[in-house]
Amino acid sequence: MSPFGGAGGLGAVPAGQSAVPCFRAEDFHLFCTAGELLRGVDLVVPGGRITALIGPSGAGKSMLLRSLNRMHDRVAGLRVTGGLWFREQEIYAPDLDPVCLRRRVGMVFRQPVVFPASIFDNVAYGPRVHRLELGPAGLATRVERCLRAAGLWDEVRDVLRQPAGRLTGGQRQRLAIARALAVDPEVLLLDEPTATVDPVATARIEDALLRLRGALTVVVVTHNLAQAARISQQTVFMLEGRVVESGPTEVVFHQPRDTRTEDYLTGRFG
Amino acid sequence: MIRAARPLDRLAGGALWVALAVVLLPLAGMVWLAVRHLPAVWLAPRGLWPAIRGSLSVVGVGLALAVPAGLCGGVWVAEVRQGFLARAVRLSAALLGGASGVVVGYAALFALVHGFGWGFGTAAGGLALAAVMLPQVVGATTEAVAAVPDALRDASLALGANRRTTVWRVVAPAAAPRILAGVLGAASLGIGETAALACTLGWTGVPSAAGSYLTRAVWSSVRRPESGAAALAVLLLVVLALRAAADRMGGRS
Ligand SMILES: Nc1ncnc2c1ncn2[C@@H]1O[C@H](COP(=O)(O)OP(=O)(O)OP(=O)(O)O)[C@@H](O)[C@H]1O
Ligand SMILES: [Mg+2]
Repeated sequence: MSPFGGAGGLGAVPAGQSAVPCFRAEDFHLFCTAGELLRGVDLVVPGGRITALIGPSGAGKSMLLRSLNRMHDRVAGLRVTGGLWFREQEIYAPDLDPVCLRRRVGMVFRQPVVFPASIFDNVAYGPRVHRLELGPAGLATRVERCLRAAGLWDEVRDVLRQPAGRLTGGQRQRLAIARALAVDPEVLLLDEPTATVDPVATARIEDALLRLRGALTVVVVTHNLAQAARISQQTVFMLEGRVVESGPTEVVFHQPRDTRTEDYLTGRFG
Repeated sequence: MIRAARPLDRLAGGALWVALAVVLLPLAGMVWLAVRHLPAVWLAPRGLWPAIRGSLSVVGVGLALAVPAGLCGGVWVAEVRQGFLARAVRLSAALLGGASGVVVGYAALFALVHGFGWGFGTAAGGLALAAVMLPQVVGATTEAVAAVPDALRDASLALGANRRTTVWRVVAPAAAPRILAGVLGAASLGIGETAALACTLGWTGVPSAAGSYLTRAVWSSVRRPESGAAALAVLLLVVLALRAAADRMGGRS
Protein backbone atom coordinates (compact mmCIF):
# COMPACT_ATOMS: atom_id res chain seq x y z
CA MET A 1 0.00 0.00 0.00
CA SER A 2 1.35 3.40 -0.90
CA PRO A 3 0.74 5.83 1.91
CA PHE A 4 0.95 8.74 -0.51
CA GLY A 5 -1.45 7.80 -3.26
CA GLY A 6 -5.16 7.51 -3.49
CA ALA A 7 -6.19 9.79 -0.64
CA GLY A 8 -9.59 11.19 -1.40
CA GLY A 9 -10.21 14.90 -1.90
CA LEU A 10 -6.59 15.98 -1.76
CA GLY A 11 -6.39 18.17 -4.80
CA ALA A 12 -5.31 21.14 -2.68
CA VAL A 13 -2.16 19.51 -1.30
CA PRO A 14 0.92 20.51 -3.29
CA ALA A 15 2.54 17.47 -4.80
CA GLY A 16 5.97 18.29 -3.38
CA GLN A 17 4.83 17.92 0.21
CA SER A 18 4.23 14.22 -0.21
CA ALA A 19 7.70 13.48 -1.52
CA VAL A 20 9.30 12.81 1.86
CA PRO A 21 7.01 11.45 4.57
CA CYS A 22 6.70 13.72 7.53
CA PHE A 23 7.03 10.86 10.02
CA ARG A 24 8.11 7.31 9.46
CA ALA A 25 8.31 4.45 11.95
CA GLU A 26 9.87 1.05 11.36
CA ASP A 27 9.43 -1.63 13.98
CA PHE A 28 9.45 1.07 16.67
CA HIS A 29 9.28 -0.28 20.21
CA LEU A 30 8.98 1.77 23.38
CA PHE A 31 9.67 0.34 26.81
CA CYS A 32 9.45 1.82 30.26
CA THR A 33 9.58 0.37 33.77
CA ALA A 34 5.93 -0.63 33.36
CA GLY A 35 6.78 -2.77 30.34
CA GLU A 36 6.59 -2.61 26.56
CA LEU A 37 4.09 0.08 25.61
CA LEU A 38 4.69 0.23 21.85
CA ARG A 39 5.28 -3.19 20.29
CA GLY A 40 6.67 -2.61 16.84
CA VAL A 41 4.98 0.31 15.13
CA ASP A 42 5.24 0.62 11.37
CA LEU A 43 3.89 3.86 10.06
CA VAL A 44 4.16 6.53 7.41
CA VAL A 45 2.60 9.96 8.01
CA PRO A 46 2.51 12.07 4.84
CA GLY A 47 3.21 15.77 5.06
CA GLY A 48 0.67 18.54 4.61
CA ARG A 49 -2.36 16.45 5.54
CA ILE A 50 -4.47 15.58 8.53
CA THR A 51 -3.82 12.12 9.89
CA ALA A 52 -6.23 10.68 12.44
CA LEU A 53 -4.92 8.24 15.01
CA ILE A 54 -7.74 6.03 16.26
CA GLY A 55 -8.08 2.95 18.43
CA PRO A 56 -9.46 1.80 21.75
CA SER A 57 -8.27 3.09 25.11
CA GLY A 58 -4.82 1.84 26.03
CA ALA A 59 -3.87 1.14 22.42
CA GLY A 60 -0.84 3.40 22.75
CA LYS A 61 -2.08 6.34 20.71
CA SER A 62 -0.91 8.96 23.19
CA MET A 63 2.36 7.08 23.65
CA LEU A 64 3.06 7.11 19.93
CA LEU A 65 2.00 10.74 19.57
CA ARG A 66 4.27 11.84 22.41
CA SER A 67 7.14 9.87 20.89
CA LEU A 68 6.89 12.04 17.79
CA ASN A 69 8.22 15.09 19.61
CA ARG A 70 10.00 13.32 22.46
CA MET A 71 7.52 14.47 25.07
CA HIS A 72 8.08 11.53 27.34
CA ASP A 73 11.76 11.85 27.90
CA ARG A 74 10.94 12.16 31.58
CA VAL A 75 9.21 8.77 31.84
CA ALA A 76 11.12 6.46 34.17
CA GLY A 77 13.24 3.82 32.47
CA LEU A 78 12.37 4.92 28.95
CA ARG A 79 14.03 2.87 26.19
CA VAL A 80 13.27 2.68 22.50
CA THR A 81 14.35 0.35 19.71
CA GLY A 82 13.71 0.40 15.99
CA GLY A 83 13.44 3.49 13.83
CA LEU A 84 11.40 6.66 14.10
CA TRP A 85 12.07 9.56 11.77
CA PHE A 86 10.87 13.12 11.37
CA ARG A 87 11.63 13.75 7.71
CA GLU A 88 15.28 12.66 7.46
CA GLN A 89 16.04 13.11 11.14
CA GLU A 90 16.04 10.15 13.48
CA ILE A 91 13.91 11.30 16.44
CA TYR A 92 15.68 9.27 19.12
CA ALA A 93 19.19 9.88 17.80
CA PRO A 94 21.46 10.68 20.75
CA ASP A 95 22.61 13.96 19.22
CA LEU A 96 19.10 15.25 18.50
CA ASP A 97 18.13 18.23 20.63
CA PRO A 98 14.53 17.68 21.76
CA VAL A 99 14.12 21.42 22.21
CA CYS A 100 14.77 22.01 18.48
CA LEU A 101 12.52 19.12 17.53
CA ARG A 102 9.64 20.39 19.65
CA ARG A 103 9.85 23.81 18.14
CA ARG A 104 9.19 22.27 14.73
CA VAL A 105 6.72 19.69 16.03
CA GLY A 106 4.13 21.34 18.27
CA MET A 107 1.67 19.59 20.54
CA VAL A 108 -1.77 20.27 22.00
CA PHE A 109 -3.05 18.15 24.85
CA ARG A 110 -6.35 16.59 25.81
CA GLN A 111 -6.80 18.88 28.80
CA PRO A 112 -6.56 22.52 27.72
CA VAL A 113 -3.59 24.22 29.37
CA VAL A 114 -3.31 27.96 29.87
CA PHE A 115 -0.31 29.65 31.43
CA PRO A 116 -1.01 32.01 34.35
CA ALA A 117 -0.69 35.10 32.16
CA SER A 118 -2.77 37.19 29.77
CA ILE A 119 -4.25 35.81 26.56
CA PHE A 120 -1.71 37.81 24.57
CA ASP A 121 1.22 36.59 26.66
CA ASN A 122 0.07 33.00 26.28
CA VAL A 123 0.28 33.21 22.51
CA ALA A 124 3.45 35.30 22.62
CA TYR A 125 5.19 32.82 24.93
CA GLY A 126 6.78 30.72 22.17
CA PRO A 127 8.12 33.62 20.09
CA ARG A 128 9.47 35.19 23.27
CA VAL A 129 11.29 32.14 24.62
CA HIS A 130 12.78 31.53 21.18
CA ARG A 131 13.74 35.22 20.98
CA LEU A 132 12.21 35.62 17.56
CA GLU A 133 13.09 39.13 16.38
CA LEU A 134 9.58 40.22 15.53
CA GLY A 135 9.44 43.61 17.23
CA PRO A 136 6.36 44.68 19.18
CA ALA A 137 4.23 45.23 16.07
CA GLY A 138 5.42 41.98 14.52
CA LEU A 139 4.62 40.11 17.70
CA ALA A 140 1.13 41.60 17.83
CA THR A 141 0.61 40.62 14.19
CA ARG A 142 1.79 37.10 14.91
CA VAL A 143 -0.53 36.81 17.92
CA GLU A 144 -3.48 38.01 15.87
CA ARG A 145 -2.70 35.68 12.97
CA CYS A 146 -2.47 32.66 15.27
CA LEU A 147 -5.63 33.54 17.18
CA ARG A 148 -7.43 33.92 13.85
CA ALA A 149 -6.07 30.61 12.64
CA ALA A 150 -7.36 28.96 15.81
CA GLY A 151 -10.77 30.58 15.33
CA LEU A 152 -10.55 32.51 18.58
CA TRP A 153 -9.74 36.05 17.46
CA ASP A 154 -13.28 37.39 17.28
CA GLU A 155 -14.01 36.29 20.83
CA VAL A 156 -10.88 37.69 22.46
CA ARG A 157 -9.77 40.67 20.34
CA ASP A 158 -10.95 43.12 23.02
CA VAL A 159 -9.67 41.25 26.04
CA LEU A 160 -6.16 40.27 24.95
CA ARG A 161 -4.61 41.68 28.11
CA GLN A 162 -6.93 39.86 30.47
CA PRO A 163 -5.89 36.68 32.28
CA ALA A 164 -6.28 33.62 30.10
CA GLY A 165 -7.69 31.80 33.12
CA ARG A 166 -11.02 33.56 32.49
CA LEU A 167 -11.59 31.75 29.20
CA THR A 168 -13.98 28.82 28.91
CA GLY A 169 -12.70 25.30 28.26
CA GLY A 170 -13.41 25.46 24.55
CA GLN A 171 -11.71 28.84 24.27
CA ARG A 172 -8.73 27.58 26.25
CA GLN A 173 -8.18 24.73 23.84
CA ARG A 174 -8.23 27.11 20.89
CA LEU A 175 -5.82 29.34 22.79
CA ALA A 176 -3.54 26.33 23.20
CA ILE A 177 -3.70 25.76 19.44
CA ALA A 178 -2.92 29.43 18.76
CA ARG A 179 0.00 29.26 21.19
CA ALA A 180 1.36 26.17 19.47
CA LEU A 181 1.06 27.85 16.06
CA ALA A 182 2.92 30.96 17.20
CA VAL A 183 6.35 29.33 16.84
CA ASP A 184 5.57 28.45 13.22
CA PRO A 185 5.82 24.69 13.62
CA GLU A 186 5.84 22.34 10.66
CA VAL A 187 3.68 19.80 12.47
CA LEU A 188 0.88 20.00 14.98
CA LEU A 189 0.20 16.95 17.15
CA LEU A 190 -3.13 16.96 18.99
CA ASP A 191 -4.13 14.41 21.61
CA GLU A 192 -7.92 14.25 21.76
CA PRO A 193 -8.17 18.04 21.42
CA THR A 194 -11.97 18.05 21.56
CA ALA A 195 -12.49 15.46 24.28
CA THR A 196 -13.29 18.03 26.96
CA VAL A 197 -15.07 20.72 24.95
CA ASP A 198 -18.64 21.24 23.78
CA PRO A 199 -19.91 20.65 20.21
CA VAL A 200 -19.67 24.31 19.21
CA ALA A 201 -16.03 24.56 20.25
CA THR A 202 -15.42 21.17 18.65
CA ALA A 203 -16.72 22.49 15.33
CA ARG A 204 -14.50 25.57 15.64
CA ILE A 205 -11.45 23.44 16.34
CA GLU A 206 -12.24 21.13 13.42
CA ASP A 207 -12.63 24.16 11.14
CA ALA A 208 -9.31 25.49 12.35
CA LEU A 209 -7.57 22.19 11.64
CA LEU A 210 -9.10 22.01 8.17
CA ARG A 211 -7.86 25.52 7.42
CA LEU A 212 -4.36 24.53 8.53
CA ARG A 213 -4.25 21.53 6.22
CA GLY A 214 -1.66 21.95 3.52
CA ALA A 215 0.36 24.55 5.37
CA LEU A 216 0.92 22.17 8.25
CA THR A 217 1.05 18.47 8.89
CA VAL A 218 -1.55 17.55 11.50
CA VAL A 219 -1.71 14.33 13.52
CA VAL A 220 -4.79 14.11 15.71
CA VAL A 221 -5.72 11.39 18.17
CA THR A 222 -9.46 11.00 18.51
CA HIS A 223 -12.10 8.67 19.89
CA ASN A 224 -14.67 10.46 17.79
CA LEU A 225 -14.84 8.40 14.60
CA ALA A 226 -17.18 10.87 12.93
CA GLN A 227 -14.57 13.53 13.59
CA ALA A 228 -11.84 11.38 12.08
CA ALA A 229 -14.01 10.86 9.01
CA ARG A 230 -14.83 14.59 8.78
CA ILE A 231 -11.38 16.08 8.99
CA SER A 232 -8.71 13.50 8.18
CA GLN A 233 -7.30 12.36 4.88
CA GLN A 234 -5.26 9.56 6.43
CA THR A 235 -6.31 7.24 9.22
CA VAL A 236 -4.15 5.06 11.41
CA PHE A 237 -5.80 2.36 13.52
CA MET A 238 -3.86 1.18 16.57
CA LEU A 239 -4.40 -1.76 18.84
CA GLU A 240 -2.29 -3.06 21.72
CA GLY A 241 0.78 -0.99 20.92
CA ARG A 242 0.80 -1.71 17.20
CA VAL A 243 -0.51 -0.09 14.06
CA VAL A 244 -3.04 -2.52 12.66
CA GLU A 245 -3.99 -0.60 9.57
CA SER A 246 -3.32 2.76 7.99
CA GLY A 247 -4.20 4.44 4.75
CA PRO A 248 -6.52 6.98 3.18
CA THR A 249 -9.41 7.64 5.52
CA GLU A 250 -12.05 6.62 2.97
CA VAL A 251 -10.38 3.30 2.39
CA VAL A 252 -9.84 2.54 6.08
CA PHE A 253 -13.41 3.47 6.93
CA HIS A 254 -15.19 1.81 4.01
CA GLN A 255 -12.96 -1.05 2.88
CA PRO A 256 -10.79 -1.97 5.88
CA ARG A 257 -8.43 -4.82 5.14
CA ASP A 258 -8.24 -6.06 8.71
CA THR A 259 -11.24 -7.50 10.50
CA ARG A 260 -10.13 -5.88 13.74
CA THR A 261 -10.35 -2.47 12.09
CA GLU A 262 -13.79 -3.30 10.83
CA ASP A 263 -14.88 -4.53 14.27
CA TYR A 264 -13.67 -1.33 15.90
CA LEU A 265 -15.29 0.94 13.35
CA THR A 266 -18.62 -0.85 13.57
CA GLY A 267 -18.57 -0.81 17.35
CA ARG A 268 -18.33 -4.58 17.58
CA PHE A 269 -15.04 -4.37 19.35
CA GLY A 270 -13.95 -6.44 22.31
CA MET B 1 -30.51 5.96 52.40
CA ILE B 2 -29.21 8.10 55.22
CA ARG B 3 -28.58 6.31 58.47
CA ALA B 4 -28.95 7.91 61.87
CA ALA B 5 -25.66 9.00 63.44
CA ARG B 6 -24.05 6.19 65.42
CA PRO B 7 -22.42 6.82 68.81
CA LEU B 8 -18.92 6.74 67.34
CA ASP B 9 -19.89 9.35 64.78
CA ARG B 10 -21.26 11.53 67.54
CA LEU B 11 -18.09 11.14 69.55
CA ALA B 12 -16.05 12.17 66.52
CA GLY B 13 -18.35 15.12 65.97
CA GLY B 14 -17.97 16.17 69.58
CA ALA B 15 -14.20 15.86 69.43
CA LEU B 16 -14.24 18.10 66.39
CA TRP B 17 -16.08 20.82 68.30
CA VAL B 18 -13.66 20.55 71.22
CA ALA B 19 -10.73 20.82 68.81
CA LEU B 20 -12.35 23.84 67.20
CA ALA B 21 -12.82 25.47 70.61
CA VAL B 22 -9.20 24.75 71.58
CA VAL B 23 -8.09 26.55 68.43
CA LEU B 24 -10.61 29.36 68.45
CA LEU B 25 -10.60 30.35 72.12
CA PRO B 26 -6.95 31.45 72.30
CA LEU B 27 -7.42 33.21 68.97
CA ALA B 28 -10.44 35.08 70.29
CA GLY B 29 -8.45 35.88 73.42
CA MET B 30 -5.60 37.26 71.38
CA VAL B 31 -7.88 39.44 69.29
CA TRP B 32 -9.62 40.71 72.40
CA LEU B 33 -6.30 41.47 74.10
CA ALA B 34 -4.99 43.20 71.02
CA VAL B 35 -8.04 45.37 70.56
CA ARG B 36 -8.27 46.24 74.27
CA HIS B 37 -4.69 47.36 74.56
CA LEU B 38 -4.36 49.08 71.24
CA PRO B 39 -4.70 52.59 72.76
CA ALA B 40 -1.84 51.74 75.09
CA VAL B 41 0.51 51.60 72.12
CA TRP B 42 0.39 55.36 71.91
CA LEU B 43 0.12 55.86 75.63
CA ALA B 44 3.05 53.59 76.43
CA PRO B 45 5.64 55.62 78.35
CA ARG B 46 8.61 55.47 76.06
CA GLY B 47 6.67 54.36 73.01
CA LEU B 48 7.13 51.21 71.12
CA TRP B 49 8.63 52.70 68.00
CA PRO B 50 12.19 51.51 68.69
CA ALA B 51 10.88 47.99 69.22
CA ILE B 52 8.79 48.10 66.05
CA ARG B 53 11.66 49.54 64.05
CA GLY B 54 14.04 46.97 65.47
CA SER B 55 11.71 44.09 64.65
CA LEU B 56 11.05 45.37 61.13
CA SER B 57 14.70 45.89 60.28
CA VAL B 58 15.81 42.54 61.61
CA VAL B 59 12.95 40.75 59.83
CA GLY B 60 13.77 42.73 56.68
CA VAL B 61 17.38 41.61 56.77
CA GLY B 62 16.28 38.04 57.49
CA LEU B 63 13.85 38.04 54.55
CA ALA B 64 16.39 39.63 52.23
CA LEU B 65 18.67 36.68 52.95
CA ALA B 66 16.15 33.87 53.32
CA VAL B 67 13.84 34.62 50.39
CA PRO B 68 16.30 34.47 47.48
CA ALA B 69 18.09 31.48 48.97
CA GLY B 70 14.89 29.70 49.92
CA LEU B 71 13.29 30.38 46.55
CA CYS B 72 16.21 29.00 44.59
CA GLY B 73 16.64 26.07 46.97
CA GLY B 74 12.95 25.20 46.97
CA VAL B 75 12.53 25.45 43.20
CA TRP B 76 15.64 23.40 42.73
CA VAL B 77 14.64 20.70 45.20
CA ALA B 78 11.12 20.46 43.74
CA GLU B 79 12.24 20.35 40.13
CA VAL B 80 15.20 18.02 40.57
CA ARG B 81 13.40 15.78 43.05
CA GLN B 82 16.14 13.15 43.20
CA GLY B 83 19.89 12.95 43.41
CA PHE B 84 22.23 13.25 46.34
CA LEU B 85 22.40 17.04 46.48
CA ALA B 86 18.62 17.48 46.38
CA ARG B 87 18.28 15.03 49.27
CA ALA B 88 21.01 16.87 51.16
CA VAL B 89 19.25 20.22 50.73
CA ARG B 90 15.94 18.72 51.83
CA LEU B 91 17.56 17.11 54.87
CA SER B 92 19.35 20.26 55.97
CA ALA B 93 16.18 22.31 55.50
CA ALA B 94 14.33 19.79 57.66
CA LEU B 95 17.09 19.88 60.28
CA LEU B 96 17.11 23.66 60.37
CA GLY B 97 13.31 23.71 60.49
CA GLY B 98 13.31 21.30 63.42
CA ALA B 99 15.86 23.27 65.39
CA SER B 100 14.14 25.60 67.81
CA GLY B 101 14.92 29.28 67.92
CA VAL B 102 17.15 28.90 70.92
CA VAL B 103 19.41 26.44 69.10
CA VAL B 104 19.77 28.78 66.14
CA GLY B 105 20.21 31.70 68.53
CA TYR B 106 22.86 29.99 70.60
CA ALA B 107 24.76 29.00 67.47
CA ALA B 108 24.58 32.61 66.26
CA LEU B 109 25.67 33.93 69.67
CA PHE B 110 28.60 31.56 69.75
CA ALA B 111 29.69 31.96 66.12
CA LEU B 112 28.64 35.43 64.99
CA VAL B 113 28.34 37.61 68.08
CA HIS B 114 31.40 36.29 69.87
CA GLY B 115 33.27 34.10 67.36
CA PHE B 116 33.43 36.58 64.48
CA GLY B 117 33.14 39.47 66.88
CA TRP B 118 30.12 40.99 65.17
CA GLY B 119 28.67 41.83 68.56
CA PHE B 120 24.96 42.12 69.25
CA GLY B 121 23.05 43.80 66.46
CA THR B 122 20.98 43.68 63.31
CA ALA B 123 23.60 41.79 61.30
CA ALA B 124 23.76 38.83 63.67
CA GLY B 125 20.01 39.05 64.36
CA GLY B 126 19.11 39.17 60.68
CA LEU B 127 21.29 36.19 59.89
CA ALA B 128 19.84 34.20 62.79
CA LEU B 129 16.31 35.08 61.67
CA ALA B 130 17.22 34.07 58.11
CA ALA B 131 18.18 30.67 59.50
CA VAL B 132 14.81 30.45 61.26
CA MET B 133 12.85 31.54 58.18
CA LEU B 134 14.83 29.74 55.49
CA PRO B 135 13.30 26.29 56.08
CA GLN B 136 9.82 27.84 55.94
CA VAL B 137 10.56 29.48 52.61
CA VAL B 138 12.19 26.35 51.21
CA GLY B 139 9.28 24.21 52.40
CA ALA B 140 6.59 26.54 51.05
CA THR B 141 8.39 26.91 47.73
CA THR B 142 8.92 23.17 47.37
CA GLU B 143 5.26 22.47 48.05
CA ALA B 144 4.06 25.26 45.78
CA VAL B 145 6.26 24.13 42.90
CA ALA B 146 5.36 20.47 43.37
CA ALA B 147 1.68 21.42 43.28
CA VAL B 148 2.01 22.94 39.79
CA PRO B 149 0.45 20.39 37.41
CA ASP B 150 2.81 18.62 35.03
CA ALA B 151 0.43 19.58 32.24
CA LEU B 152 1.72 23.14 32.53
CA ARG B 153 5.33 22.01 32.23
CA ASP B 154 4.49 19.76 29.29
CA ALA B 155 2.71 22.59 27.49
CA SER B 156 5.80 24.77 27.81
CA LEU B 157 8.25 22.02 26.86
CA ALA B 158 6.09 21.15 23.85
CA LEU B 159 6.66 24.69 22.56
CA GLY B 160 10.37 24.05 22.51
CA ALA B 161 11.14 25.84 25.76
CA ASN B 162 13.94 24.25 27.77
CA ARG B 163 13.63 23.13 31.38
CA ARG B 164 15.09 26.28 32.87
CA THR B 165 12.86 28.61 30.87
CA THR B 166 9.88 26.46 31.74
CA VAL B 167 10.67 26.65 35.44
CA TRP B 168 11.20 30.41 35.58
CA ARG B 169 8.55 31.56 33.13
CA VAL B 170 5.73 29.08 33.71
CA VAL B 171 6.17 27.05 36.88
CA ALA B 172 7.35 29.85 39.17
CA PRO B 173 4.54 32.28 38.20
CA ALA B 174 2.00 29.50 38.66
CA ALA B 175 3.43 28.78 42.11
CA ALA B 176 3.86 32.47 43.03
CA PRO B 177 0.71 32.94 45.14
CA ARG B 178 1.57 30.00 47.37
CA ILE B 179 5.23 30.98 47.57
CA LEU B 180 4.23 34.49 48.61
CA ALA B 181 1.95 32.99 51.23
CA GLY B 182 4.91 31.00 52.55
CA VAL B 183 7.07 34.12 52.66
CA LEU B 184 4.40 36.01 54.60
CA GLY B 185 4.14 33.06 56.98
CA ALA B 186 7.90 33.11 57.44
CA ALA B 187 7.76 36.85 58.14
CA SER B 188 5.15 36.37 60.83
CA LEU B 189 7.28 33.60 62.32
CA GLY B 190 10.24 36.00 62.33
CA ILE B 191 8.24 38.78 64.00
CA GLY B 192 7.25 36.38 66.75
CA GLU B 193 10.71 34.86 67.18
CA THR B 194 12.17 35.40 70.63
CA ALA B 195 15.05 33.12 71.51
CA ALA B 196 17.05 33.62 68.31
CA LEU B 197 16.74 37.38 68.72
CA ALA B 198 17.54 37.36 72.43
CA CYS B 199 20.84 35.68 71.62
CA THR B 200 21.76 38.08 68.82
CA LEU B 201 20.13 41.42 69.67
CA GLY B 202 20.52 41.05 73.38
CA TRP B 203 18.33 40.47 76.39
CA THR B 204 17.73 42.42 79.57
CA GLY B 205 20.74 40.87 81.25
CA VAL B 206 23.15 42.23 78.68
CA PRO B 207 23.65 45.92 79.38
CA SER B 208 25.75 46.60 76.30
CA ALA B 209 23.16 45.22 73.95
CA ALA B 210 20.90 48.04 72.81
CA GLY B 211 18.88 46.07 70.28
CA SER B 212 15.16 46.48 70.77
CA TYR B 213 12.46 44.29 69.25
CA LEU B 214 8.81 43.54 69.86
CA THR B 215 9.07 40.21 71.64
CA ARG B 216 11.67 41.68 73.99
CA ALA B 217 9.38 44.55 74.75
CA VAL B 218 6.73 42.01 75.69
CA TRP B 219 8.68 40.00 78.20
CA SER B 220 11.03 42.63 79.55
CA SER B 221 8.20 44.80 80.80
CA VAL B 222 6.44 42.34 83.05
CA ARG B 223 6.59 44.92 85.82
CA ARG B 224 4.81 47.46 83.67
CA PRO B 225 1.95 45.33 82.32
CA GLU B 226 0.36 48.00 80.15
CA SER B 227 3.49 48.55 78.09
CA GLY B 228 4.04 44.81 77.71
CA ALA B 229 0.43 44.35 76.66
CA ALA B 230 0.80 47.12 74.11
CA ALA B 231 3.83 45.40 72.61
CA LEU B 232 1.90 42.14 72.60
CA ALA B 233 -1.03 43.84 70.88
CA VAL B 234 1.17 45.20 68.12
CA LEU B 235 2.86 41.83 67.75
CA LEU B 236 -0.42 39.99 67.48
CA LEU B 237 -1.88 42.46 65.04
CA VAL B 238 1.14 42.18 62.79
CA VAL B 239 1.11 38.39 62.97
CA LEU B 240 -2.63 38.22 62.37
CA ALA B 241 -2.39 40.58 59.42
CA LEU B 242 0.47 38.62 57.88
CA ARG B 243 -1.36 35.35 58.42
CA ALA B 244 -4.56 36.67 56.93
CA ALA B 245 -2.65 37.96 53.91
CA ALA B 246 -0.87 34.60 53.60
CA ASP B 247 -4.16 32.72 53.68
CA ARG B 248 -5.64 34.96 51.00
CA MET B 249 -2.55 34.43 48.87
CA GLY B 250 -2.60 30.67 49.32
CA GLY B 251 -6.27 30.49 48.47
CA ARG B 252 -5.70 32.06 45.08
CA SER B 253 -4.10 29.85 42.47
N1 LIG C 1 3.72 7.09 32.10
C1 LIG C 1 3.35 5.81 31.92
N2 LIG C 1 4.00 4.82 32.56
C2 LIG C 1 3.64 3.54 32.39
N3 LIG C 1 2.64 3.13 31.60
C3 LIG C 1 1.95 4.06 30.93
C4 LIG C 1 2.26 5.45 31.06
N4 LIG C 1 1.39 6.14 30.30
C5 LIG C 1 0.58 5.22 29.72
N5 LIG C 1 0.92 3.96 30.09
C6 LIG C 1 0.29 2.73 29.60
O1 LIG C 1 0.58 2.61 28.23
C7 LIG C 1 -0.51 2.06 27.52
C8 LIG C 1 -0.87 2.95 26.37
O2 LIG C 1 -1.32 4.16 26.89
P1 LIG C 1 -1.79 5.37 26.00
O3 LIG C 1 -2.02 6.51 26.90
O4 LIG C 1 -0.86 5.58 24.87
O5 LIG C 1 -3.17 4.84 25.42
P2 LIG C 1 -4.20 5.63 24.51
O6 LIG C 1 -4.34 4.84 23.28
O7 LIG C 1 -3.80 7.03 24.36
O8 LIG C 1 -5.51 5.50 25.37
P3 LIG C 1 -6.65 6.61 25.61
O9 LIG C 1 -7.48 6.57 24.40
O10 LIG C 1 -7.38 6.11 26.80
O11 LIG C 1 -5.99 7.91 25.82
C9 LIG C 1 -1.61 1.89 28.53
O12 LIG C 1 -1.68 0.53 28.87
C10 LIG C 1 -1.20 2.72 29.70
O13 LIG C 1 -1.63 2.11 30.90
MG1 LIG D 1 -4.51 8.89 25.15
